Amino acid sequence: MFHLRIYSDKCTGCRACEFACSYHHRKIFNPKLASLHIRRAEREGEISIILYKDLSEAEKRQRLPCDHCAGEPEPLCVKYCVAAALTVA
Amino acid sequence: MEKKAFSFGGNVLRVDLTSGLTWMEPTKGYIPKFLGGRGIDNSILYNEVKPWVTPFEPANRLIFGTGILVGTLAPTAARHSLDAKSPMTGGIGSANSCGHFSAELKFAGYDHIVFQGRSRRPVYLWIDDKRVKLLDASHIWGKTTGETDDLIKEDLGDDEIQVACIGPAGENLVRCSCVITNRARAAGRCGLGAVMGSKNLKAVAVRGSGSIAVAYPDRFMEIVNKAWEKIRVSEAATTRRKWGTYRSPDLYNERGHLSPRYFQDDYVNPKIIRNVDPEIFKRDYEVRRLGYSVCPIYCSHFYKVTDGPFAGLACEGIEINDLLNFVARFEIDSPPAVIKLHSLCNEYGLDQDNSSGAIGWAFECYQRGILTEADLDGLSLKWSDYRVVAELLRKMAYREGIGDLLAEGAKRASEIIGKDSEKFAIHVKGQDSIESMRGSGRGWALGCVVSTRGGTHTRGANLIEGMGVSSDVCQRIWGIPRLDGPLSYENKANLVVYYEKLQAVLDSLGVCMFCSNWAGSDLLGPDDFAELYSAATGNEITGEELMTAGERIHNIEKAFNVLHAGFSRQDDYPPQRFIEEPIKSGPMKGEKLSRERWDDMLDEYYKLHGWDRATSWQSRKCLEDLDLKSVADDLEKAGLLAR
Repeated sequence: MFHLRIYSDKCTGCRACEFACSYHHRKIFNPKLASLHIRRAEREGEISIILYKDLSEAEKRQRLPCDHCAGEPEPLCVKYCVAAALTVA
Repeated sequence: MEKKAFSFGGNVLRVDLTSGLTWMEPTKGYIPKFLGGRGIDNSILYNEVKPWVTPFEPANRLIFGTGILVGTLAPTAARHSLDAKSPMTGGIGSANSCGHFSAELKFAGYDHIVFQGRSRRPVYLWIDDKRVKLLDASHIWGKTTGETDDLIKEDLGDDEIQVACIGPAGENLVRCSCVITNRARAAGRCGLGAVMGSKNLKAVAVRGSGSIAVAYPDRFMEIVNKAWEKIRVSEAATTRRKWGTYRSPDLYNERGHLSPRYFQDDYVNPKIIRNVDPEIFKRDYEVRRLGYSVCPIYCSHFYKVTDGPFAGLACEGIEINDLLNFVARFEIDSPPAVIKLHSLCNEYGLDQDNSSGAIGWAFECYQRGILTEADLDGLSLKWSDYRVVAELLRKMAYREGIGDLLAEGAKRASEIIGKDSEKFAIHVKGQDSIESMRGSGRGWALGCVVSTRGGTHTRGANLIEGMGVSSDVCQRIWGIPRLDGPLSYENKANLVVYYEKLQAVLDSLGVCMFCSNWAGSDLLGPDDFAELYSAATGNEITGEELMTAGERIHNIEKAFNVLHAGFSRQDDYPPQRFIEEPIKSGPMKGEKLSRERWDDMLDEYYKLHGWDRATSWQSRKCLEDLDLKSVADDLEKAGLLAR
């Protein structure tokens, strides 16, 4: 099981992790399904990364919880994070 | 219901602002001849806007286009095109921007939005997946782009929707108004914000929850990984990742790319350049790097100013354009002032390149005594005074006093004022040019001048000629024996034609030129994009076929320009100043463009396109080879087809 380290200050807000995550789960691209979410406060220039590990049944109808990229050689969100805001512990 | 094509949102959204009706058409009817994005935008524009329609009439169209790869993990696929008949040139108005708007629109199920007509009152369009509404915008009319972004998100109760909007400049039909997304990303050139304003359309807000599926997911991801890796290790991309586009001002200066006092020279006092070194912006003002949808280059940055007259200023920016437009043109050497001017353009919704062009022209008029304080609402236009530049930007945005004249752009303003000021109004086809061409690469200059959208470097201009590329690479990528450095005129027409095609492809796929071999020969070329396109859509295509589609798109824009604006060979020359007045100082002293060599280069350029040398017009053969027979018929009927 992979353990993610999150460095929000390095995040550029490109959301490649969201796209990659949805691909891992469903082989489609849909950031709103992803197990993590990049929140951009554009007026302030602030970005935060939210990881969804545990979701209620109601929430699971909206998005999918992180399964630590089961079956992948490395977490896809880490793989596509060129800025290294997401790394493996 | 018919299944949507792979890698597409599936629909073209039609909005008639006069009647308030909206409807959808399947995108399938428009593909694959013009690819997507800019290609489909401009084919719709060509077919639906007649030559006698003027830019601000309701019959003009305003078209948003995503790209085929937008909404996938294809690197940099974050861009949208915006197209209309241009109030700057009277020909093709075509701008392009990154941001999160494009992907969101696709996730809502739309590849394009086509606006027609004019609303009786200010409105904005709200797209919430398949629910589409025109909402009252009277409470937002008059607001800046940042305020508009805030108010719409508040209205709709969601601070993560994506908004494309105009500021006061677009509302006031300032000819160089832009359309802003994410508070700072501008579809800048050609005055498309003014077209939006003429339709009483303040903004487009979108929330999309759908998915994009590609035809062959495993194969697609394999190609994506290869492309991603190429960009990750590329030297050119790494430099941009570190600095953004604002970098190496001293090198720009030595090469004659920086024009102080509105192109009176092409060398800025090095002391000024030292005061605005990129290291200073990074050290004192940058708080983070920024990127948009799936971009491994993230060339943007967020700044905060905590001291001095602009304390409290926080915004995204700046770009290399700020170096040319504010630092060099007006000799402004205060970094926070540069950040402020950049931010003002975004807030007013003014294209920075065009607006600073018109203001630069006014400064030179003042220096020469053509405009005086009495004409300028009491202002003294002294070089290096950033406060006057800021005040003139405000006046332009609201068409107040002298701003009403400047809002017409340097060309029109100079024709109104006269007194020989037309001679130093720097524009191409009516649109302000940001670059001097005396010291620049000759291929760069040609690409800027023959650009279908008028005076800009995002069509056929190239960076490669200044990079020292081996003859092997020249042969392999561009099919030319060699490149002899930037100031040589040899083989440059080939480069221009190549990049015109490639840029049309990039803008139709929705990817950024910075990931392509435009930015460095180690980056992605037509074959790479063809692989991405094939795996995403399921329609197999070669790099060569993709470039032919690019040529088709370029040709429909050319035909639009000939039919609508009457452009011909005489419009494909650089501003006279760059031929007559040599550079006065610095390492490039004495350089200027040669009219004779330009003629040779232009002849070669037309020949490569299959266009007529005397008129620049297209031939029936060239158009029919590109499957554009109806375009040839239109031109023939208008007497504008080459014999």
